[in-house]
This record gives sequence, structure tokens and C-alpha cells, in this order.
Amino acid sequence: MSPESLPDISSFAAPVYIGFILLEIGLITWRGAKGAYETKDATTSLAMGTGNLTFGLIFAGSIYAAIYAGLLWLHQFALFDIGLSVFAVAACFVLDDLAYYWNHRFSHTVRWAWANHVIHHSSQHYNLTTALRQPWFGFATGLFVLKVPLVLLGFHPGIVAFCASLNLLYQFFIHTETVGKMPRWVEAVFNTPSHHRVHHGKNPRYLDSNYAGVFILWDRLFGTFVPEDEAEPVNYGLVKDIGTFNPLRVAVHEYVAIGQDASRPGLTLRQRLAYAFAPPGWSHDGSRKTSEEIRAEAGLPPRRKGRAPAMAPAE
Amino acid sequence: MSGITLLAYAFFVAAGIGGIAYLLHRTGHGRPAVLEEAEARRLLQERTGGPVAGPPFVTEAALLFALEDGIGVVRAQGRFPLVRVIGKEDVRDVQARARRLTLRLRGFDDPRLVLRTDDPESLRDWLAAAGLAEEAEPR
Ligand SMILES: [Zn+2]
Ligand SMILES: [Zn+2]
Repeated sequence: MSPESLPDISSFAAPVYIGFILLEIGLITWRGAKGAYETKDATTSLAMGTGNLTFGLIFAGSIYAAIYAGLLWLHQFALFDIGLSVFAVAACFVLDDLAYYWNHRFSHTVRWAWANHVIHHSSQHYNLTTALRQPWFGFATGLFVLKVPLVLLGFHPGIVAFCASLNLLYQFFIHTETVGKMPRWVEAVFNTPSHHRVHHGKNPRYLDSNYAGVFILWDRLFGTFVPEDEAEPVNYGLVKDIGTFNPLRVAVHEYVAIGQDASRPGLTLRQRLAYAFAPPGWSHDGSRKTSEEIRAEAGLPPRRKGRAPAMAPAE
Repeated sequence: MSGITLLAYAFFVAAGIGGIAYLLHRTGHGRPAVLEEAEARRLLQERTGGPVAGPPFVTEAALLFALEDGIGVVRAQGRFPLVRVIGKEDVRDVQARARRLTLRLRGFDDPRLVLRTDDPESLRDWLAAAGLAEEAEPR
């Protein structure tokens, strides 16, 4: 088997997704399991997932092929010839998850990347369909450059793509309220439904936390880990929730907002650029709040300074 | 993946989404949020940071409160309440139909506010008093 023939698992796992979504709906509806569904919300999430798959196929032969070709070209300068083996896939999976952590963190702290990722956070629900509420134009962030170190290290782009696909498949299963907390050692090492619920929270104390894909260790290491506190239930969604279920509006609303903000009359070039690349919530006149400002107003310490929450004991 | 397989996959996905939507509808997951006045007032106060006085104008799935500048709206967005402060500058126009007023808004992520009521004239007058609509035609 060659690295190029490794499958894109997450894009073609619809039978698994649909099966588990039906199971979750059944558990919530007839077995009293924790969780909530709403028809329009779930349908919009599924439509976003379908759009993600469709645009992925549409751009497969052009933009994604060009990115892949670029990575393949870089691969000739790799430090090591790692090849394809179980060890190679395992090592790549771990390092790709580290790249995912930073991709995800930038996606919350740079508005241009947030415009893409906000889609995933635009539901006030948290169930398995929320996992599929995915953007359509992911390449626009430019964050695929975070794959470059992996390729230069010696991992074939085909292996990197396969690991990213596995990573996304794993994350599908953690978008649920029906699972409480996992055994302590699992919660200590892995991203779990509990940890990722926190990530989807708009409560000030939960903002900008738990960026992990598979291993929560990255958040513990880089000071962004926040455990779920049963005394403070998670409110899911955005600080300012969107008021539409229209998939087209969901897909591009933040790009439109950036365009509107950056083209306001009377701004300096620096301010226009800041509307695109400063943290979400930045404004030239202070009329909006970034998540750091929201946290400060709520009397919470800054996420990246002070005592690192990573030191908090595992739940 | 061949074209036929891709087409079959597309049909499967479409049928899956349709099936899930139908199941949710049939099992009562399509009911919008029921808004209590006290809770709506609390949410709006949280948003504006100040007290919200006066009784709301109650429509089918939204409660409207007069604010000093514009109105505060607490409406159902699926199972959850959505809080908005709407000023005159946010409204493109107001369209009246039988039992329904639609405020077309400038926000791209929140393009319209549909208000259903048995008394659209009173609603229009109420919105006019808040500066958001023209007075209703004399009855
Ligand atoms: Zn996120
Ligand atoms: Zn998520």
C-alpha cells in the first residue's frame, strides 16, 4: 500500500454518522438520556456537513490538489525518509494532532480564521450533528501551512491527510451530552465529550479553552485546559448567536461581517487590517468585546498569563 | 471513487438527512422555545446592562420591549431564546401581511424578524411609537 492510497475516512463515513445520530436521538427521546435536538438546527448542521463534503469534492481537483502538490514538492527536502508503517502513522497522528491544536487555537484568535471556524460553533445545541456543522472553504484560512513541518520532518502528505481524516472522525464522537465523564485516565489524556463541551461554551470561564483534537495533553501543556464544572452548565453557541438557519448565510456570515467592518469609511489601513486579523470581537472604537475582555469583565484571569490552568488536576 | 458510487453516496446522504429531519419532526423536536416574560426580561437586561421597564408586546414567538433607543426583542430561535436590540438604523423595511409583520433587518446573520399576531395594527402602532415603523393606516 502506498501513502497515496490511504482513504479519506471522515468524508465517507456518512453511514456511521447517520447510525450514531439516530442512536443518540433514540436515547434522548425514549431513554431520557441527557441532550437535546431541534429539527431546524440539526438539519442545518447536516446541510453544513454536506456542503463541506460537496465543496471538498468540487475543489479536490484544483485547490486541494495544488496544496497537496505543494506539500509533495516540499517532501523531497524532508529530513528523514519515514515511509509508511504502523509506527509512521502513529507518530504522524500524534504530531498532526499537535498541528491541529495550533490550527484550532489560531482559528479562535485570528478573525480571518475564525470566519471559517465560527460555523462549527454557530449552533446553540451540542449533539452529534453539531460535529458535522463544518465550514465549506477551509483552505481560505491558509492554516494548511501548519502541515509543512510534518512533511519536512519526513511524513508523506498522504499519511498526513489520512491522520487528519482519522482525527476528524474521532472528534465526531465527542460532540455529545449523552456521555458524562469518562474514566480519570481517559479524561487526563484524551479530548472527551466533557472537555469538548467546555470548548463549545460561551460562558466567560469556558471561552478560548480546550482546543485539542484528540489529545487534551496539548491544552494542559500550553495553558488552555479548563475542566467542565458541573456547577456551571455549559451554554453552547456564540457570544452573539446568529439568528438564521439558512446554510448559505451560516457559511459566509463572518466573512461578510469582516467585509462590512473593514470597508467602513474613515478607518486607517491598520484598523481595516485589524478587523480581519485581530482577535474576534476587536473593534476600532471599543464598542465590542474580545473574549479576553469578556473574561476580564467577569473577573477572570487572562487565559495566557498568570497561573496556567494546565496545572489544574485532571478531573 | 466512481461517479456512480458518488451518486449513490449522495442519495444516501440526502435520504439520511431527510429521514433524521422527519424523525425529529415526528418526535416533537420541532417545537419552538416557549418564552416566559420574566425570563425574557432577565435575558434582555443581561444584554443591555440596565433595567428594562414596561410591559412587553407579546407576539406568537417573540416578546418585544420598548427601550430608550429602539426595541429589545427576545424571540425563539429553535429551542432557544435569541436576544436582540434593534434600532431604527437596523431596519431596512417593514412588510405587512395578514396576521404577520416582517422586519427586514440589515444584519446578514439575522436578516429578518417575523412577528405573528392577531392584532397587526396594534403591533405596527407599537413599533411606530418605538420609531421602527410607520403608523398603521387608520382603521
Ligand atoms: Zn473551536
Ligand atoms: Zn466541536
